[in-house]
Amino acid sequence: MRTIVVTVCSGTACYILGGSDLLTLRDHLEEPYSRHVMLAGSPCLNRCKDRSENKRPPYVTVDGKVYGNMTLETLVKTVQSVLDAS
Amino acid sequence: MKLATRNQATFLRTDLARALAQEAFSDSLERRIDQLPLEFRPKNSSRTRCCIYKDRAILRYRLMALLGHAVENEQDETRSLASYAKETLEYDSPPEASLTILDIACSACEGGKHAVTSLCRGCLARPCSANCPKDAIHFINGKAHIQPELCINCGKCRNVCPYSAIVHQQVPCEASCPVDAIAKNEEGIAQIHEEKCIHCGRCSRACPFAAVMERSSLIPVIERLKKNSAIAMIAPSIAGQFPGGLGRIITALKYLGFSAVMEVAAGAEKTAKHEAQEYLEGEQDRPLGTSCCPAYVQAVKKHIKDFLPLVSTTPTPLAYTGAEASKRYPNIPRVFIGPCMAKRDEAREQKSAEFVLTFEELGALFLARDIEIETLDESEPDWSAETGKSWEFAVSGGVAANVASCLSQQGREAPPTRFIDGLDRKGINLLRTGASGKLGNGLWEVMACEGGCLCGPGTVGNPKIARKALDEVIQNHSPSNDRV
Ligand code: FES
Repeated sequence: MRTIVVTVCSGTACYILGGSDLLTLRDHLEEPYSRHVMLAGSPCLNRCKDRSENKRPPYVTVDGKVYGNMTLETLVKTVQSVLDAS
Repeated sequence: MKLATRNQATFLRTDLARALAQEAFSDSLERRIDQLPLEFRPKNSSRTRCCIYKDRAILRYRLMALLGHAVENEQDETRSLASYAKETLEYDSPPEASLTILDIACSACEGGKHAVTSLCRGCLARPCSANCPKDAIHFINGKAHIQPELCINCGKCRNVCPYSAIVHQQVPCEASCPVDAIAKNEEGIAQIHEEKCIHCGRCSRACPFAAVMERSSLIPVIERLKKNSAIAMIAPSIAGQFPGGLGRIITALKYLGFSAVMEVAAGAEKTAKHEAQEYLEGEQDRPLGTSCCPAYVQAVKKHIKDFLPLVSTTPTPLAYTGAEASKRYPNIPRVFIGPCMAKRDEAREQKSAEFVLTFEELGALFLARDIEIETLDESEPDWSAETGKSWEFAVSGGVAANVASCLSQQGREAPPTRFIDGLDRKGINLLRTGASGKLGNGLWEVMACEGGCLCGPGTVGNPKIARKALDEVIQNHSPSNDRV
């Protein structure tokens, strides 16, 4: 399994709209996944101004790919499936 | 079941407040407000309810609440939002009551009742019907059925069923309320009984449809921010509600238009000292209840009157801060910004603040003004605590810890302490027993929200992350220049 970088946007919009929940990702990942994740915060990823449908904060990048409208559950699933495929 | 700190419902509420605030800041509120429901649910967009028209109707009511109006009181469904906005601008004061129910958003949850599930085997013994005091259970095709008009919800059948086939369906808002102040009316729609309500805000968090909303003071506050005439009094639980740390949050508040920012933690220092003194001088044979949590104080006033003489008479952190603010900045409106829905009662009764906003509402203001907090420089507050210790008021255990530390500075021992961390039904009963003197003396720290203010209904930050940010403030806090 590779180690991947997960960046949780901690810009104002993402943080207020659920980003701070995502920063607890590590508490919700099981082994071996949690050992293969490097978690970081980031300033505004400049996505939040885009208000088209189904796109909204909070944004996260998982292994370089950007995801919007993230919840803890969807983030955990995404991380696991990216790691499983690696 | 606990909903996540932030979910789709809270997102919508915040985003709508953001849009409303944007219009208010650009003086286009009356002109634009009736467009907002259409812009949030344009034609052909996806919908949450049966159709976009119902979604829009609910958005209209949400906007009414954000304007400060009581949704239940609506007389004329055709009335424009613009006319409500006009009324808000003219009224220019905080709304009276704090919570309102969006009756059409309330899904009239089935529940509060007992029901028989498919697990029923129609057994021979039939203890359910044998134990039912009202003869409400009958058998159809060999399976138990409860007749709702006879059932009194005593739960005896549920307890005796050998197959656990009988369930009690809960209504989330009713189940969350510690004082039975919210209940469904004949139409099945939830209703708040003001004479019982302690404004703890639990129901607003528990409702999966976000049908309980606060009547907001956003608009009158924005009008003052536009004139740069408002004092922000920030609760200690602000740590971790926004990114970037305390210094940047203070800069962001100034960008919004607050002319001064005061730490309520500075008032908390005075509260702790005074409460320690009150404890020493008080009658040591009975408990002394803390005074700073307004939802619990309301609960005592409305439901546990026997405990009232035991509640500390020490002014709250907000009372001290509000008094200092009016001394320093006479006639400038004071805005308490915190996690709490009950603080509004306190602010009004004690005249310690003209307006109260939650962190969620403050967040909407930051979004409306596109303030990227984490990119700002840091600033100092205009009034600050001497040390970080009093910032602990934001969490359960923190008030007692501060009182104890004041006592130890005088060479006194810490009082025996009892914590009521989260005022649920059990906590209410504990206070009742405490009032009778059966539970001994000591300091009773009561927080209506489990975990303390940091977990209050108006918060936006994850409690665990917020706790880390709070610890940082507690450790690194230094008094502002103004103080030394
Ligand atoms: S705040 Fe996250 S993309 Fe802007």
